[in-house]
Amino acid sequence: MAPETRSSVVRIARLVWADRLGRVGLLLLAATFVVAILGPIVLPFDPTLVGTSAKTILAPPSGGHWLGTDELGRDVLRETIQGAQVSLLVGLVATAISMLVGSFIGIAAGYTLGLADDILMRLTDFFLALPTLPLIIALAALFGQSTVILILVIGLTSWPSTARIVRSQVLSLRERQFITRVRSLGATDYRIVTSHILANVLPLIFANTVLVIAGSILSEATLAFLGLGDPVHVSWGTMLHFAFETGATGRGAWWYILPPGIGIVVVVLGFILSGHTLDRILNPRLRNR
Amino acid sequence: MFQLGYLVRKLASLLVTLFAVAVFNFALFRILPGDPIRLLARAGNLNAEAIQRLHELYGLDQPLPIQFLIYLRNIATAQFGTSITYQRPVADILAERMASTIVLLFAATILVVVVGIVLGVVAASRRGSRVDNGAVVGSLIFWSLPTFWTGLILIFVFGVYLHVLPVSGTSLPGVTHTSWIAHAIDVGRHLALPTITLALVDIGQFVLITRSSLVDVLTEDYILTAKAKGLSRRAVIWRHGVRNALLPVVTTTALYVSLIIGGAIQVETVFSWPGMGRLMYDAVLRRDYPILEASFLIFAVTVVLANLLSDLLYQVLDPRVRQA
Amino acid sequence: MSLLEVEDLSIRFRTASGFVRAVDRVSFQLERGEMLGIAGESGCGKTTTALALPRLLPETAETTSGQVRLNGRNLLGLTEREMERVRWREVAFVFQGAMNALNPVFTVGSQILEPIRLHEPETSEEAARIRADELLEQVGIPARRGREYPHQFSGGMRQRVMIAMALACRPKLLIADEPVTALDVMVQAQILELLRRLRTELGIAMILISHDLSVIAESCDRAIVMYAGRVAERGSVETIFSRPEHPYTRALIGAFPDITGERVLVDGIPGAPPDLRTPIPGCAFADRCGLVIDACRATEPLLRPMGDGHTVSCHLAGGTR
Repeated sequence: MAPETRSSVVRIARLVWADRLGRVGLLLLAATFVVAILGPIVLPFDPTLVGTSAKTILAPPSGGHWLGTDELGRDVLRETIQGAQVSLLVGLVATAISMLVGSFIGIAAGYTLGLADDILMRLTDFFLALPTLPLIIALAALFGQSTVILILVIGLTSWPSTARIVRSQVLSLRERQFITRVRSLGATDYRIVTSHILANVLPLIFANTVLVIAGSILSEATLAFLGLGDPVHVSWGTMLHFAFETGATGRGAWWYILPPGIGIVVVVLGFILSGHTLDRILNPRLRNR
Repeated sequence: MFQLGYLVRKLASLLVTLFAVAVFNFALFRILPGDPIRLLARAGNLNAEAIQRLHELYGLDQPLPIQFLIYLRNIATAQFGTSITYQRPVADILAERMASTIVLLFAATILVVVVGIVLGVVAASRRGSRVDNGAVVGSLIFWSLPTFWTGLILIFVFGVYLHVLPVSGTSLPGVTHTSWIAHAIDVGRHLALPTITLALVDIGQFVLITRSSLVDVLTEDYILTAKAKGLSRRAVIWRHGVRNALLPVVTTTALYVSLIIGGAIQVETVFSWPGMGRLMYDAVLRRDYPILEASFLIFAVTVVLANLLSDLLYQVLDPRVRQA
Repeated sequence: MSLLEVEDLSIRFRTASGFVRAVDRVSFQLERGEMLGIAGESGCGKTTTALALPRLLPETAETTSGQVRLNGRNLLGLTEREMERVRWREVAFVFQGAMNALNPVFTVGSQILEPIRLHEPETSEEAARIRADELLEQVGIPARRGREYPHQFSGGMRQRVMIAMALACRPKLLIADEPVTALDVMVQAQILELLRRLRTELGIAMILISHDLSVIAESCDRAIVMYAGRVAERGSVETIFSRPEHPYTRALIGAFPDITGERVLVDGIPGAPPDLRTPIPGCAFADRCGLVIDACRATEPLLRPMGDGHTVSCHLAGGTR
């Protein structure tokens, strides 16, 4: 990373920290990552450690199980900690795919204009018009429930909004003086894009990324809740799926329903607060809000 | 009000999009998975005669373009196939479920629009105050809540602990009501929690959009003109401000419809509300592809139509973009 | 009693870096049917003064002293409710840059009707609509165009609409802030002609604000020249333009080329206006004045009457030229 980029990242991070909402967001994210990375080392989850008798199934919190047990008698606290990893992993990787595809299409469309732009934008608008949840449900149902498929499904359905934002930014950049000047100096398109356009579009992409991560994590949780999660790698959504299917709500087993849900809310809120603040910082028009 | 040329163009564009949706649906459910028989019926219990019937119905041994035409014909005649689970025509099942979903969506939308706009306006007109900050933080939190989990929590609080509202179905099972009012109240009580759950996330989004839009509008010169005319602050904000602030909000209609459909699927599942969302959930569990395919098509078409309506609505509201 | 008496008006703005004294003890009077011009460069406080009269200043503004008496009644002491009844009915405003001063989603006619319905609810729908039509005709716009939207009008026509709208409730005072600045010369002349005609026909007093001295010279009876929030010179247009006493006024007049006079090199005024965040002990123009003496920086010159309603705030007024 070039030194200027690094210092501006630090500067932006400081600005986010200075904002009250931004600070809360960053703290929530820090907490989540600590739990996700260190948690399974400190409190590992063994999915084979099932309960032995009826009393140990869906049992309320006790000395042995701080957050009670699930429908198989397993420890909810450790299961929740473990679930953090899957939820975060799917959310982050899916977003990475989405951002790459979206940015590429947005830059390609915005920079080349003409027929390519037309086609790409029609494609983007079409995908934007498809209802999100029904689409990812259909895709997951058709193509399987492995974590990889989930990542692909979520990643390949959330790129359109990024593509549009990137494209409009590229369009306005194109008109700016310095592009014309650089081109008249003989710079190739490739160089213009990589050196100049990317540098100016990157902050916007970054702010958008944070919000897309929040959406991806929610999508994964929803898919898992609806029964389309990876049964092997249990995420928070899957936990809630089994909680629901085995009647934990009716039985009043709040210890099974609250922790995974709170986990989701904490990490999503963390990204949304950070992203909201980032948006305000990077988008000068929004600064007075 | 609308020029004929404009309407014709809009209609043509609509048809093209609908066609694209049909193509996409076809590709998704027929081409990509490889063997369509696997999707159309549970392969295990099919005899040769049943397979033959399927081949006829869907033209499976015909070349792809012909298959697509047959597909289009089937859609046009509401021939969505037979449900694997229920062994009934999918079209019938859809027809039964549609009303419940429409009622739910309708109720939730009213709640979202009214609460969202009012709160957004109040927040914007008192920018920087505690009400405003509270509204923004609250909206951001609501935006982060997974709809299905919110439903579970509400079931807990209001259904299991407080026991004040029903948490499943549209009305009390096995009870016949004396009057239609009693029936309406019963449905209403059943509608309460699902509606609130569904509305919560979208209210958050609406508040934020309305607020930021109005904050922008209130910096415009014509707002000062309105004040200079001697209009009260309330009149300035609502008659001149909100009217203009709603324009960007209208453009988010398509996004809203997509979100509320996604929310409805979750809410119907959690509250056992017998609508199309719940139908889709059950179909996923049992891999009932004919239902999945038809449900997806209906939802996609709904969003496309909602898009068209919002475009037309925008034309009505903003004289600057009207085709003169 | 004059129609409008502004006495000792001071206004400051709250900013992140302290208070900015935008208007400093400004006083002037306006008689019925008279047209007063307020001149000065941008940032001198003329718009702030104008907005203060119908109390349209933003939240960040504080009026720290002074009175604004309309027919003897101090407007600064009224409640907001009472002000709402004064606005437009007695004091109307034509804003700078009518481009965005009209609401884009309402027809022009309905925006003219709005103040009529608000301030004169007893007027019937029919009568109100007839009056709106007449107002449009009066400013030279065919009445049927009242059904159109602001974006369908050119800049000059929008300005006329603003003027028609301002006259809707037959105000006693019309304030026009840079009414012709964004318009081309031909349209400028038309609009100024319109304002003059309306003043004669309807007997409305007007305040015309402009950084363009020729506009003021052409249309106004009396004028005020403002600098850094203070009044530099006051008097009849004739006096000020033929016998300007304040060095700033002279520089301002010299800065505008005269098409009929001798060929002169146009002198810009070197330097920049002072920072209004810090109080200025002496004359605000001291740093840019060619005739500055020590007294100028030490004490602030008071407004000195030169006879005939002509007052100047300069230590050297009446002396060397």
